[in-house]
Amino acid sequence: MDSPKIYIVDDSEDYSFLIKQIFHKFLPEYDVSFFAGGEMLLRRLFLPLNQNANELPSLVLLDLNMPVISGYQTLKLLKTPADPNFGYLKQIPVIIMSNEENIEQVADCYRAGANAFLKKPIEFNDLKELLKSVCYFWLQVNKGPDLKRQ
Amino acid sequence: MTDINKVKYHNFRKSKILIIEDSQDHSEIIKLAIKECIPEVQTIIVSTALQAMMFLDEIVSSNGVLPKLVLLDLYLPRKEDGWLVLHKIKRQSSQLRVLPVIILSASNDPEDIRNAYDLGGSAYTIKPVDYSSWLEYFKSIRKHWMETVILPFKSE
Repeated sequence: MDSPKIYIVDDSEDYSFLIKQIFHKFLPEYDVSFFAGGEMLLRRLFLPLNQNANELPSLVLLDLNMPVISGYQTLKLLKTPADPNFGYLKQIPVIIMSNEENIEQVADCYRAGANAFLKKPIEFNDLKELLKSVCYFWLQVNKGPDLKRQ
Repeated sequence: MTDINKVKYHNFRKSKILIIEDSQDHSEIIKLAIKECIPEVQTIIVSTALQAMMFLDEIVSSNGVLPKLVLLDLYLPRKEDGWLVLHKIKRQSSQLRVLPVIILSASNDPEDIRNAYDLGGSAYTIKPVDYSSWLEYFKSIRKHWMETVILPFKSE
């Protein structure tokens, strides 16, 4: 059985590097891919190339504050896709990650279909604990949708 | 306040968890397990789709405080009842749409699971079978949903 795939979408190279280290050292059983922006993620999910044609993530961690296409816009495009042929993408669990915990932002994200909202820790240990908690709940306790490209 | 404490402050303050569960036996176990694992929250249990909607509609119309989390059994007793509740909470026009809804069902049917996500369910979990597993379950709900995730909150 393939390792569960996690897609991390974050425009910060430094933060992505930190996350990569943590998965490599403490959560090596997961297959993690990084996307530097919402547009890269959308391209992968809406226009897959042959080599990743059948791959769908079990979980997406989506940074809120990104240039070009914001996390919020990306979230909306995933959870309310204009093309009904891609309706199945809305079933993928998407967790928003943000530097702030602004009441309106949190509510807006849940209303837009975010499965959960997390504050991005800065401390290494806090981030490690967060990622362990995320993986444990979302990929061990939770039952994700069994999706195949349609 | 540190980040983690801020999360806990908002998540635990005056919090209610709504359980929508038609089985009397499961309700009893759930009440006990939550009391042990998440004693800070008030637990409200309703046993039909109608009761759930009335409870939530009442809060909205009186501008009250919504529960932090909803745990929804699908088969109430029929899964159509569960879908109805989920749909009413999660439809675009609903003021309840902001609520995280975790399905808690005995069903392992992939179609049920996909449908739950499609209707806007936040997560899908399978009902534990013995009491110690129920405790493990609510410990994981506490750890992730009450102590890590930022739940939607109202300003005081």
